[in-house]
Amino acid sequence: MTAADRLPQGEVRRILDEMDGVQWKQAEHLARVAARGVAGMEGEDLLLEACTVLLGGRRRYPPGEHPLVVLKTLMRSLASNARRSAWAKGLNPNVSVEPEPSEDDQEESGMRALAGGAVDRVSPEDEILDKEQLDAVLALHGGDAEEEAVLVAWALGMRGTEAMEMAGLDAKGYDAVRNRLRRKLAPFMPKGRNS
Amino acid sequence: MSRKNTYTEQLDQLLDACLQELLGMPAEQVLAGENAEVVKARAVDRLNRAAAEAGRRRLAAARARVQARASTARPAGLRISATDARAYIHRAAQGRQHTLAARNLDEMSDEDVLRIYSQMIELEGERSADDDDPGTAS
Repeated sequence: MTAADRLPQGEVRRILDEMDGVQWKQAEHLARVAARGVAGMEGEDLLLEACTVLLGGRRRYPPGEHPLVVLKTLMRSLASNARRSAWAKGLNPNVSVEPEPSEDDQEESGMRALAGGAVDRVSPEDEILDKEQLDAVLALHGGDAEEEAVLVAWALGMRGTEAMEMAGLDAKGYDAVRNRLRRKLAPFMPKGRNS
Repeated sequence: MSRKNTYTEQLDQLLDACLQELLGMPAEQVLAGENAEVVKARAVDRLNRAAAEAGRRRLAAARARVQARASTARPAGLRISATDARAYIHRAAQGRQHTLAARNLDEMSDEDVLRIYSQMIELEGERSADDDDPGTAS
């Protein structure tokens, strides 16, 4: 990794400081979704940890990347690590789980793995844990079959007309389902929570 | 369009889609009844707490590195006697290359003397590297 691949810490802080209230609210909504299925972790915990890791320089901030994309990628990774830690502790409560490694550490270990011939960095355990987290996010549908179909289409990488057709909906129905899902992604917060 | 179908990739794609939906929402819907200024104030507080915690972690990591270095700095590989190391440290102290209370030198254990010697050698190595680095500010 070269210095050109990552922003200086002061620049990272400046970008995060410049995010407005709407963008931070989007980040909070996304954090709540990303934390689904992670025991003992709320969206706020996840978002705070992501900010801590970014400001601590333990993950690179690619120049030009949208801050919400950076936060999304990082929160997804942190949530997976938290699930992996919880899983390891469940197997053996005495096991010492390593803290979140820095990106440099990860790259170093990745290079060692490649040198050792271990090319695939997604382990079967990762797949199982990601399946559980995927199910937790898909559960946003709350039993609504149409919403579930759209979420599954999105998970398969489909968007727009393709997702609509996969879910067996017409344009009007797809828009209605999207609107319902959007209300679940950004649930109404009573005014009393403002203070 | 290439399709990715492992659970890991599906989770990535689903979160991507959620982000795209959030980005496509009108501000009022995103705010969901909250005031943008209140959200922003909460974010500033969050960033301040995150910066403080990042600083604490950096300090803890630096301390751990120093401790690890100190514990592994036993100069087992040094090919020098404690007597010669003591003499070297004494000369360095006189030459003011290092700040050291030389009067304590004779009271130190051989192990401590050898450890200090190895740290001085390491420090001097780093200084030489800095001196050789044309990019290092003088």
